[in-house]
Amino acid sequence: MTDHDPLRDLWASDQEEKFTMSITDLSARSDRFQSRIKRRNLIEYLAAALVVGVFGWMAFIIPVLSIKIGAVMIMMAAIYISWQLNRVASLSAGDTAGDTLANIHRRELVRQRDALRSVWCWYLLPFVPGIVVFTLGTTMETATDVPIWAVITSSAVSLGFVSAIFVGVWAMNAYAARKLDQEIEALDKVRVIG
Amino acid sequence: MKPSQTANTRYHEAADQFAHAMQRLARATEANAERRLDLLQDMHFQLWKSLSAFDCRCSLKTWVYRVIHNVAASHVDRERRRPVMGIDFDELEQMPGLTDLSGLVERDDALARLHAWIRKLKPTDRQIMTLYLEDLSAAEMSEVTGFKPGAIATRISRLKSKLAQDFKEASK
Repeated sequence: MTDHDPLRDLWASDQEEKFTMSITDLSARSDRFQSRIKRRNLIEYLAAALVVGVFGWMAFIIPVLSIKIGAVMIMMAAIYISWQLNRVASLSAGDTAGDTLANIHRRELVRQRDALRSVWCWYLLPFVPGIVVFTLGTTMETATDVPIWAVITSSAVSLGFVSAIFVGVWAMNAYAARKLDQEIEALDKVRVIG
Repeated sequence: MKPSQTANTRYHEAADQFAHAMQRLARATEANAERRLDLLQDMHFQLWKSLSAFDCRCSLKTWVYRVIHNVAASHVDRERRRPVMGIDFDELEQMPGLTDLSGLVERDDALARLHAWIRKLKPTDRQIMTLYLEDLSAAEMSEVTGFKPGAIATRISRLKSKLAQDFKEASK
């Protein structure tokens, strides 16, 4: 690979332009960078606050105990997931600038794969109790003059629909995790280990 | 946390030595002049920031190339709007001579086409190709990228073949 190659001459013939950055410029960029991170975090917290606000408002105005409990449980799930997302983001935000691209790429693939594999427990499961209580409460409240079998059927259909969405999300994530596993395996074949 | 005085001194040393390499990589990564300047500033900023963690376990040269290539890869990741051209490794053909490449078109035009071609590559291919063009040895490239030297050599051979083929087709 040390043979003379005219492509390298062409590459090196690129004219250098005058460009410098003083330490003051770099510090100013660092401050802007920090502000951007703070702004991004604020947006994430506002999104969680919106879910909490909507369900909190429902828990406050709807006079049915089971719906109130369901809304509060969904609120708690939103807070828990927001905390989890923040924790995962802070774990992956380590300073890896001087690492090899192969290592950084592999770490990111592993992180994504693990997150996808465990999505069931940290993203979907926290919502389940709240949704079940909320759905049952809503169904029973709206079906006052109908036979019990109709209430049970209606609840089962609602919960079945929600379950189907959850299973679909889980299946898609499991498939994506398997694809990432294949990518990691291929990368390991050409990567320097150690 | 702001970098220390030692990191500042190291930054000046690295910036002096690799300023041109950073510009070349920025040109081969970003076509838009404004975004390219932003990318170049980001390379300098991340390099300055990273030098606090530089522990001399690799050479300064390896460190600089790792940092600037990681910045370039993140930049491309953010700018995914451009289509990515995958390299078809099955299409390995007889590698044409590249000696007549610069004779085909004017140098600036050839350079612009080379940059445009590199920009369409997948991130790892782009990194390997630009490191090859920067005249790094196989061992140095392996240290920067983390890929085995054998895998890098194969990749370069295929990329050069693809480049020659694409340039040939474009000049028809």
